[in-house]
Amino acid sequence: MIRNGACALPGCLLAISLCAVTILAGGFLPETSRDHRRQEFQSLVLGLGFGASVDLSECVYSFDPRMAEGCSQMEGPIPGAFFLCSRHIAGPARSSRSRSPDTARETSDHAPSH
Amino acid sequence: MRRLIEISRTGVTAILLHPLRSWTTVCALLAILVPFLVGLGLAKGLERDAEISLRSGGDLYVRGSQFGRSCPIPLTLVTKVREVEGVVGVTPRIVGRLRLGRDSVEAIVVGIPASEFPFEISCINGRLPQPGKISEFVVGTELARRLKLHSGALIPPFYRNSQGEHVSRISGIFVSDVSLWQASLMFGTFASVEKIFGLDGLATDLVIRCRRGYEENVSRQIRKLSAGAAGRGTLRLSITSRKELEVMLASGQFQREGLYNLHFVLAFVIGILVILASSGAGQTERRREIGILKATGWQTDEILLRSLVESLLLSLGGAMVSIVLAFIWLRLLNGYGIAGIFFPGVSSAPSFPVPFRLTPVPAFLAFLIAFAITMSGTVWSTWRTAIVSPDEAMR
Repeated sequence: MIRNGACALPGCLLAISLCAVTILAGGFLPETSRDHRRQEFQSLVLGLGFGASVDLSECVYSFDPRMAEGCSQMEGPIPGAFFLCSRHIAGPARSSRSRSPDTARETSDHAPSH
Repeated sequence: MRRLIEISRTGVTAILLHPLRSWTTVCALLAILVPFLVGLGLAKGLERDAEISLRSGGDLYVRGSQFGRSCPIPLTLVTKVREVEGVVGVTPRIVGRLRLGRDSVEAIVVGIPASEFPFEISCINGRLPQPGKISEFVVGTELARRLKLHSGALIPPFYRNSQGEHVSRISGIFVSDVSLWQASLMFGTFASVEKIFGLDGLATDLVIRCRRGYEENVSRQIRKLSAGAAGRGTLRLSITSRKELEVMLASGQFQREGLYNLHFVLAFVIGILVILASSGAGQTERRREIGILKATGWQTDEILLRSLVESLLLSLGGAMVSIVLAFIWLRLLNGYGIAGIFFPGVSSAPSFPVPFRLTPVPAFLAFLIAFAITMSGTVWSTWRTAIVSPDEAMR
């Protein structure tokens, strides 16, 4: 029985590996019609949405950083996380470090940011 | 070489000889790797959607700021911005928040001038809103589901302004797979949205398209327009450029990377169980087995090679099955359960196809994690047993 299993195991492993490789290769295939619809939608709304939030109920910044200066729930740096907003979960907030140096310098005297 | 292959084949036999040990190891690996791959897949999918949002949007986004907080921008500023050298187009946009229905369902109201609408569109089931007496809107799938709206439905008055209350009509519903951000959207003409909020002549932001290479110069010129542009005190203008967003996207700030850190912690905690199962719990039988092998003339390096092949196959199998299961979870189960954690504001069974992308790098990483965990469980205990005499190993 073990001898039969020893023959079958590499076969099973190969079959599963082929499935996995097919799945991974599928990630690179263009979804033409879907991508076209996505672009159409974004062109219609002029670029809306960037983060993991799908509404503006708690953190506008997490929905789209183009719509807010920063996260309103910023509580200051804590170890292992930049701020306590549940919409980010330990993700760093927008800070001068994450922005392009030119823009950070230019906006620093206009609007207070985190 | 032939001998090496023969020894390697005994590694396969070792997996089948102890099915419980092998299954425990593979199951523990799946418990670690599947959520990890699903999380990474969702983040990559979100990243791709964000890229499209970035590519299809404007070059610069201008917001107003007073008292250090965001405020609307007067439409009079549009003409001034259009005159700036390098500006190709300026579109005022309203993005606001609203609660609808008895359950106070969250909605994002977006208004764009009707003149900016395309002639044909395929991302809507229905048609684009038309300017007219009755305000028309296209709504997102989640909003339509929760408010039981359909194309052509009339919405009873949900806002009041100086002109009284008005009935609105749903002209269409967004196709569910266009974006996750369409879920709570309520899209209409600029004039319709102006009526909802009762604020004439104001926009929340200006979307600017520039000539290539003029972005920096346009930003500088617009900032100079800041003071006194509103005619209602000093209005400071805050600008977000595409370049800035590209930096943010590259750093993965908005794809909830932190969650992966939690997964990593979880992975190693459960990984300890694998080590226990394959080295601690299976120690007696492993010692006996190695003792017999030593007694029949096997060398330490041969025993280690056998153990290495066993670990490699178990981790490879675990990683491959994890990829297949992660795909099933994301595609067939639509990220049931995890989507609500990953995308705040979405129910555990989302009404839209969750964006995901399984790529080779996370898969390879998953295999490496699996191999490292399995190896740490087997190689050390195998080596410790293999270096002692057979009678002591079997004791």
